[in-house]
Amino acid sequence: MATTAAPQSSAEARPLARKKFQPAEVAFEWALRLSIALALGALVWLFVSVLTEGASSLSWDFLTSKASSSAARAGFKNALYGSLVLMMITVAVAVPLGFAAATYLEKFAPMSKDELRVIAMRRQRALEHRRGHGLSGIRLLLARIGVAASRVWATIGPPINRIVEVNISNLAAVPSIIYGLLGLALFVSIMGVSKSLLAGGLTLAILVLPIIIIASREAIRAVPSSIEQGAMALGATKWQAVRSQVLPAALPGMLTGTILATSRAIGETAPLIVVGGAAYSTKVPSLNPLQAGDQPLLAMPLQIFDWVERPQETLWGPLAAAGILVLIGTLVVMNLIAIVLRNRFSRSW
Amino acid sequence: MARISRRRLALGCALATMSLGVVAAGCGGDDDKSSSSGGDLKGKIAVDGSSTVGPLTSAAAERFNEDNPDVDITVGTSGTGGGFEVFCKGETDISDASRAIKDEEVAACKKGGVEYEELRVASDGITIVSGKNADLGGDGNLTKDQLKAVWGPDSKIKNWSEIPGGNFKGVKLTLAGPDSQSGTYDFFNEEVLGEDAKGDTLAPRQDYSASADDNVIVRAVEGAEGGMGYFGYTYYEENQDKLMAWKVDGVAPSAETITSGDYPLSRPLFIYVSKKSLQKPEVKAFVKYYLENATSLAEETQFVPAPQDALDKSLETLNAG
Repeated sequence: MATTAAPQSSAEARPLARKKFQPAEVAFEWALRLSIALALGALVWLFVSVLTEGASSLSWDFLTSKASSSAARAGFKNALYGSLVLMMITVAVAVPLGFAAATYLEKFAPMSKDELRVIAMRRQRALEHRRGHGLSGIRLLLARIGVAASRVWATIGPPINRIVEVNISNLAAVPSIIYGLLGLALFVSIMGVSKSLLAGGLTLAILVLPIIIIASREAIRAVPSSIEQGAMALGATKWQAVRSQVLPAALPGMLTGTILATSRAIGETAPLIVVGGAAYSTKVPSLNPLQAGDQPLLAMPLQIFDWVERPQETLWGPLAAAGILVLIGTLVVMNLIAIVLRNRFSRSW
Repeated sequence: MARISRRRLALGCALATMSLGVVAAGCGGDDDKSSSSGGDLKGKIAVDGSSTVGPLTSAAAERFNEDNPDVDITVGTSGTGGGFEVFCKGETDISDASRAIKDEEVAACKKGGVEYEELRVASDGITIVSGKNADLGGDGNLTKDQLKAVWGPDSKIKNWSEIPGGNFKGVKLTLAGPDSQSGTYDFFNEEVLGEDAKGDTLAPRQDYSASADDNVIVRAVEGAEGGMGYFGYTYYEENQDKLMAWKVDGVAPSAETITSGDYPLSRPLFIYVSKKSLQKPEVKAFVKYYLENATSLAEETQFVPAPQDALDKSLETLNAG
């Protein structure tokens, strides 16, 4: 960090005593304090009310008992396992896609038509060179297809990239229930995935994908371009520079964005209900994500919703509150992981 | 900070993906591969439908599963209408319903090639409630005609004193009820509001506070001085300290009057079972168990039981089919 020794402006040079009292400034400052107090106060009030109601029901038994129709025996295990599997699928699908999309959009998409044409020409020249050295048959054909594709992309690429760019930002603002409908149509109806944890996890993955892309792009953008340019000046290709210099440096920010996105996904209820979430199952979902296509779609928010809805509020209310505490606890753990990862990989320039 | 090695980068990625898995595996271990004692039935049963009936079906599933650990039963609660939607596509084996199947749903099932049996499992009574301490006058009775005047589509009644044929006090009327996804809503409209000239069930007035969660309605009614709301009997039973129930056409709601059908707004609760699914032994065994134990399950989960002859008839249908 550059230490800022700001030049003394004329206002600052004036003696303090003669600075005018500005009522608007003081009022503004207190308005800001008030808004923070309101935001935090609501959160604290919510947390305390849940804690007082749910603390007595929260126990190891609560976490390890199966769901039940008797409030005395009912536990959170089915829902907890369901949510864990959902998160594994969401992360496994959304992270590679999100990181790749962000890298492309930030580093490769902004190339202009001229830049793309230059690349196509360079590839053409390389092709001819290798042909002179005996490239033939299927490999020659593939190389020719590659060059032709580069040429076509030089024309149609930039406008397509612009459309994608605009739409990714819009997607992040789409209500989650719409993603539920999309998941139902795409995964269940078209792709024939059963209404299972797999369908739910995939739906949550596309739900958080725009968030991961946007956060990762910010992180990649924050890496000084001199790093990449330096690598390329030393003879690295664009991909080599991005892979071994830019991405490692951007990783902490990308991971933070990812965990914040999954923190959102773990609390989502509406899209899961649309995709076919169940309120009760005799079966505890298997923790193996590879079997998720066969497991009932259960999740913590679904279970909490079911409990809150029941007529016997005095019986189920404390269980719902304890469930909320477990959900909050999981969120806190996920955010802690984000902080640890960020600190571990962060570096300053 | 030092340059990040490739290995640490890989480690970071792996850590991010696996952290959840590790947490999960940590508390795994005691996976319940219950010893296959008891029944030797195997398979999956998918149930969806009414959130009113859901807890009863869940209780039946839980108890059935104790003897038949290899039968997995999943119960969804996407509402009576939502349940029929997937049932008629053949996606579920059983549909919970807090009202009888509608004509358009019958048509949908026909189109989807789903034949079914309608089996009654319990009862419910739509209970009209006000706050316990509300001073509204009247004699604790509302007629169906009065209810229609209050809830009807063209109703302009804003005060208890405006309710025709009653001598209620001048208290502002605040209405709360279920939203349109609910089977309770459908049943109330059919029973109380009736049909228009074209034979369609009338919709209620739009200026009441609608909620999918009956506990929200409980709170809305309890909190308003001149509140009126309606929901299933169990919600009243659980909140008797806060709410009073109106007699309807002179009959007070109670477990007895609802089971017998004397209470005018009593309704049967059903499960609809696909005939194709009934050919699977696990489905047939489950439904049989459900019906045979319906009364004790209802008591356990605080439902109003179905009359015994209705259950006997359901069992007869099941065994004949």
